[in-house]
Amino acid sequence: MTDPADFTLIEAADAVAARKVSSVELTKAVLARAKAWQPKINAFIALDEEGALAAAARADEAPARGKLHGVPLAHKDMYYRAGRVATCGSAIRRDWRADTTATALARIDAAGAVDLGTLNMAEFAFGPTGHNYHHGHCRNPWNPAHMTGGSSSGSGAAVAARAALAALGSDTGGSIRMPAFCNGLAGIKPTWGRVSRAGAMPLSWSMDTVGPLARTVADCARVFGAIAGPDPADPTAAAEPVDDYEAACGKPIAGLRVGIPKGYFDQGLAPEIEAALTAAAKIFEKLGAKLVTVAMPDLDAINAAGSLITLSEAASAHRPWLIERPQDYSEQVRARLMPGLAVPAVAYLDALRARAAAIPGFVASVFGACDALLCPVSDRPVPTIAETDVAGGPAMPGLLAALTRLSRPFNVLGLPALSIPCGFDAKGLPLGFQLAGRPFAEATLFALGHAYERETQVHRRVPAP
Amino acid sequence: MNLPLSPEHCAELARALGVTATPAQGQAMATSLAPALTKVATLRVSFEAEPAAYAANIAKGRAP
Repeated sequence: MTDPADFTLIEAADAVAARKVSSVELTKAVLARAKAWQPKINAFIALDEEGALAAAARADEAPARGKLHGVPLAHKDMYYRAGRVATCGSAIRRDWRADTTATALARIDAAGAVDLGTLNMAEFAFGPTGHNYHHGHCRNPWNPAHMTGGSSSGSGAAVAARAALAALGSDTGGSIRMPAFCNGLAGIKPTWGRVSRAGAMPLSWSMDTVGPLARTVADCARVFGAIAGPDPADPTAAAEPVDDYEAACGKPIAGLRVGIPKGYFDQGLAPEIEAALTAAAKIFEKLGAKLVTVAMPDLDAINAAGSLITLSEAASAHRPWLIERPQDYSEQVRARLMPGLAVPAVAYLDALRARAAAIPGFVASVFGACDALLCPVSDRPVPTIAETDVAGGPAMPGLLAALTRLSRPFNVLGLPALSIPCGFDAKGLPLGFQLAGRPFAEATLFALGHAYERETQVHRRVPAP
Repeated sequence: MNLPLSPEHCAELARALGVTATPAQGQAMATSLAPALTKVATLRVSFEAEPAAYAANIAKGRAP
């Protein structure tokens, strides 16, 4: 019999619903993976074995609550649950208990999921590599010497190791897509406002987004469908109608236009990345999609605006702790927060105004020509933890900017982007790409991603314990 | 690299907001901000453009 931990989320949910496996059996199998992997990858900050098994037992007794009934998940340790510690990957909040529950968590609870505990993350979600100097670095299950990507490091590592069937991450500059890329997973950075941020730790409130990482595109779509939609607790949550994302997986993609960017996204790529993108484009063409070349506008300026916005908003949020507890930040995070204190107000406002003004032109020129843009997430294969261990030194700003260069533009423009695995490099580390779309076009991205995945079956490969 | 803000000025701004900043931190702040500030300074945004248009423009971008 297949180990239930090897099920995809949808297979697991179906098996529980059909009483072919109990939630307790499933949860025990996933907990066994979590405990076996934890010393190697440090994906969990807190694993709640007792609570998870009790919740699984209740799920087995109760009628099905929703599409995640009895399925064990775990989430980045920045989603508040009333009464539980949410460290936010920091020392400052090591013992801080939330008094509310995040809307995204409440919706996942309402769909019946079992919560395994909290996952490692970059300190205050401010880092793209997976290093954490307070809770220990998170390590890549495909090769623990390599980085997981961040800031949703534990989300990427745990799901890849089958230590959770899906996980919430958050994405302000690439923090879902980079771990999805590094760990061989699907991960959706939604349109800004598509998912409520209520009860999620803020980093940069005007760019933060909430989304899942999962083994498959369809798994991702199922979790996304559970959390998307308006929320009175978050005034920035959009009132736009929510599509049936799971139904989109399986829709024909013939005739959809896949954009191949000319400029910006094709610059400075490692040969492995370039080859992976070319191969992915050929698959889409084989599946009936039409490849079209799309000229890119100046995204360096967009990225610069995004950088100033994040620095300003993060520095504003963190200023009380920078005054009272500067020693409790890691050197890198303190060094990244401090510059925000010196951003001129006019530069911040110009960045905000330029960002808002850029959206209509970008959407018209790019998504007038294609339905989804095929781009790299990273310009390089997954680096090692040592190669990216720059702490707060002089190499830090350049390296971190380079790692987020290809993901950040979609945060600045508020657009959705789905990261999809597409193979492995010569060292056995995952490779991937992202599909970006017009606002609220997540269903189109899921349709394309699912068709690609079904054709390639890359998601079937599992890291060796 | 040409620094749009001096290290001393960056450190002073931090101190004005109550945050302790050493000269070395002022230097790091100035160096870190330089690329983005330089680029944003070249942006020309229309007189009427407002930050609040962000959410509205995202919503307008939805497929017809």
